[in-house]
Amino acid sequence: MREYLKALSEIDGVSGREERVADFIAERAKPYAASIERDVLKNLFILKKGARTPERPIVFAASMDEWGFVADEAKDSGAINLSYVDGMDPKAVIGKRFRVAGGEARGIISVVSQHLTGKSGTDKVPELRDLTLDVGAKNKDGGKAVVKPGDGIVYDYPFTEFGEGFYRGKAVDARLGCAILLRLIEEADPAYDIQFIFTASSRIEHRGAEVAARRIDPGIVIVAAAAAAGDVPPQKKVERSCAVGKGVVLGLKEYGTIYSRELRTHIEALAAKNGIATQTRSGMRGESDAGQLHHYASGAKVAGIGAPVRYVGTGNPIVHKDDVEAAYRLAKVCAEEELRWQG
Amino acid sequence: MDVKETLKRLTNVLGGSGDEFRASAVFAELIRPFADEVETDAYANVTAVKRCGKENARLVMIDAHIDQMAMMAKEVTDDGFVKFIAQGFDPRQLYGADVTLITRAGKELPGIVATFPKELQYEEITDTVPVDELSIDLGLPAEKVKAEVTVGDFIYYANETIELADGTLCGRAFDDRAAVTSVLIAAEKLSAETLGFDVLYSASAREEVGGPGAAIVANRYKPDFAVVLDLAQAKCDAYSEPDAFELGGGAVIGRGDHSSPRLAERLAEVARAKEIPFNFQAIPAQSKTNAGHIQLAATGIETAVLSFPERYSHSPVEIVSIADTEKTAQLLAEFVLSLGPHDFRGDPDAEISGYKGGGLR
Repeated sequence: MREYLKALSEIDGVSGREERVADFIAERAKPYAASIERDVLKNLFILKKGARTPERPIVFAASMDEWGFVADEAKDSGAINLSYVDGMDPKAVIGKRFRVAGGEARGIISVVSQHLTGKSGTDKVPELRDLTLDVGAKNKDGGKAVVKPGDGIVYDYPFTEFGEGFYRGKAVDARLGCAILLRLIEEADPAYDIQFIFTASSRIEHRGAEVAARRIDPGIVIVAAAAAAGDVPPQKKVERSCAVGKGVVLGLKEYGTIYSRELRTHIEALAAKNGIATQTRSGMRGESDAGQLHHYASGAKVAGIGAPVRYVGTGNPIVHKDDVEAAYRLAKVCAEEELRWQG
Repeated sequence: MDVKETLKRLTNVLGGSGDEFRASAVFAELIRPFADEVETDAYANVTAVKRCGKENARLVMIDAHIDQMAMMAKEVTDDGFVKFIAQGFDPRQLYGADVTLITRAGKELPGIVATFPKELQYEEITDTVPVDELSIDLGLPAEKVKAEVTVGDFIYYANETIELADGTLCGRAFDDRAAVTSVLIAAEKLSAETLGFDVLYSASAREEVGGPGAAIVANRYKPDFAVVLDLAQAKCDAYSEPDAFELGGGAVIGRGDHSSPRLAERLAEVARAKEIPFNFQAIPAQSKTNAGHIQLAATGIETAVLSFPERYSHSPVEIVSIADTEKTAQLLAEFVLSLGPHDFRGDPDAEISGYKGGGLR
């Protein structure tokens, strides 16, 4: 999975600017696809034929957009005002490097030094709307020369290996599902036609998924995505949810979605049959495209397959290679085995 | 000297307080062509003396500290995370930071300061997560971490220096390696000049922990007076009060505590004469620089504080202007060239400066 994850995570695409990701996937999928379509929201639809055609479409979905900002006007100070996508955490962006999407220009987000504010000044974290991008410019013109309003701003942490068997880098979390799906398109021999949906704008109210669901009207949806792992030193305020090295993560429930118990039980049985460990994630406060995809048309059964990822939403998410590989293998089993319970 | 490359090289080498030797070695290598004697002492202070060749020459000390802020491992948890001490660090800068841990065997291990995803917080954490709730993930199995990591291992921000717009650089440790770079630039310029003074360049250790590196040097060499180079706070988007300086605004000359009026005045006169942009900085008490240590060394040494602005001091994303680094170096060199053999003797209050624009040249 390394090659898929590296290539996909290194492409820049914040919500609403996923073209480069979609271009890459569409190009790679061309030899294997029965049809490739794109819609106005920048969703990408790829149909791969299988042994039979199901009564209602079976969808494998993943979102393409990564965490980041959209640049606003430069201020008189030379700093750049930022708009941000849903779920960004101001704590995670302070002291971090960023890059203009698709370009070389860089900037950082920081807070005022405690030399100036005093130590008590470090107790509070500014809100996102009060943080700006410092590109080194000394005035408005300097800022304007570097960043144009509307430019995407992405984390500047390229893909690398980390520790023993981990991958890290910006968008390793966001594109994990894309990596699994692209490899399925290239390598799986499906038992049925699969409609792959690569959604846009998942981090702006899941807009892409909403219209994609209406276009396809799926009967079954399997969403591949990173699952936030909380297996870091105990902190009373944080839920463990799922853990690295403990198996492929299956969704139970989250904002907007109660995952289908029949579908999950079936996938667990397939996993057991194929010697793939699974775990469920208990975090209920997450959200994904699963909600929109399964209830914005005539209704579908939905399952979530993912790998546990630490530090989602930061510039340094990490995922273990064995976990990604296992998630891919389970997705492949789902694609290649007859889904008998379907009806 | 390629100033940008020197700034990058000096900020990319790791050398925290008490762990300076790598950075000290780089400074010793870089200053060697510009000095007659270079030594590194047991404290990791590097001293380099440029002799003027005159009998009974007096000695001016030029000091910048070589150490950077460092963290230290204090515990390895059962599941292989490293708890750490981070005195003087802003915990907000640490959350999710890229770090490098240097093991007892000298191996550099990359790490990430663990973060807690928003969706797993029972109640959204909006305040600063204090250092004692943070830990470092090395991506290694617990038994490996226990084998490699020892309490007391040094830990640093890992990110290397990058270039930003308008001739600025961004990274860790510009405090005080940018000032060290200014010393090197000045030393290069002075190495080709006839001097009226011997010059002692000192890259002193342990400033960030209030340690006496500079005092050890000053006690040993007993300079006639000293100029201490450090960094001042620059204005940024979120802070534009008058106690901070414009990035790119040139040198900052301290007035007040640790900065003698006549030395400050001479620095200002030289800056005006050579058209080097500068601002005065009021230092009512506690310059929090090595000047405090040097002033109290030997039987008391007259000091001046010379600096230039830096944004986000002590963070992984400190920003300095290359031009400020160069202009401050130019002022420093011109100051040394302005020194006549009888300047700044006796009672500091007896004269203010007496600079006539000439010096020895």
